Amino acid sequence: MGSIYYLIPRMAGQTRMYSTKLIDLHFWVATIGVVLYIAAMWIAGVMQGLMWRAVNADGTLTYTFVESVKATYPYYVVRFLGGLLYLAGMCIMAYNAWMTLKGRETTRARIPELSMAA
Amino acid sequence: MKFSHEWIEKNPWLLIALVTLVVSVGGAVEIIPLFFQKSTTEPVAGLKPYSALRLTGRDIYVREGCYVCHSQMVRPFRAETERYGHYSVAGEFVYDRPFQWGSKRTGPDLARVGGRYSDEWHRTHLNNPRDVVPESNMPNYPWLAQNKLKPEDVVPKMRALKRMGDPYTEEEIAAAPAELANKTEEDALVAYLQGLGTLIKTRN
Repeated sequence: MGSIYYLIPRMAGQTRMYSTKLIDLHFWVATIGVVLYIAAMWIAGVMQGLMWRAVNADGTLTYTFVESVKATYPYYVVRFLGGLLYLAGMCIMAYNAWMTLKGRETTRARIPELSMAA
Repeated sequence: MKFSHEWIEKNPWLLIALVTLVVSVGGAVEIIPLFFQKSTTEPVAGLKPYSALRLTGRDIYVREGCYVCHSQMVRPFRAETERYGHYSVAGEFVYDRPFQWGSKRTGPDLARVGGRYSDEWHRTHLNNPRDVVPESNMPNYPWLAQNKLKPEDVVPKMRALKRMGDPYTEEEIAAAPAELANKTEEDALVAYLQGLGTLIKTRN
């Protein structure tokens, strides 16, 4: 994405994106989103594994399978929020790109002819 | 030039050739013996190729992507064998092409689900899992009960498997379409599920 932020203004014959502040915003929204997503899935996965293998003193299983499914639901909500933030970041980027490219001619880069001599 | 580590690392093509050699030898030593080992090639006692109905059900299992959330592989750990039954052995999968071991358990392992619930339970569960397991997050598959099977579709599948070495007889293949007449996709899938992992029993 960084490379696209670098390319878009150059494509439109500009020196910078429409808003650098929005790029910063995108960065933080996406970072927080990804951290929520990863943390939620990480915790849920470890918890699920521990629940599957938990046994009582008499050797019977502590949890049914569906109890482990139910226990992960709050983490799915957190993951959803994380994903929503990440998506919001992409929308910010789309708006920023749109405002940068709006009404601009894309540059026609000339490809220099190769010299036949040499 | 001296045959040194540096020389190998600075010659990309030589490095590629040597890496390929090392990986091939390592892979061959690990994999090829498995083709000839009894424990991996012999079907477990009583294992037969899938019947026409179960074979069709298996294809529906693949089509609906059941393997994305359900594994078919009980690992040899106490909590696993306690929950699902005897750990899976290679001989149970001899006629599985391709195998459905899976790698993710959003839902429980199904390697030994056969006979664990009634046919009626499975039908209710496939239509809407929450009717029997309120906390379930499995999607509904209501179309399975409506879609009728095309009986003649199973013949080329069985022929292909026979060519691969599955011991189907010509009589079995000839009788196969009749077995599927007037059956729904749900009938086939339930038949497939009810036979899973029933040959090895350790539950007392």
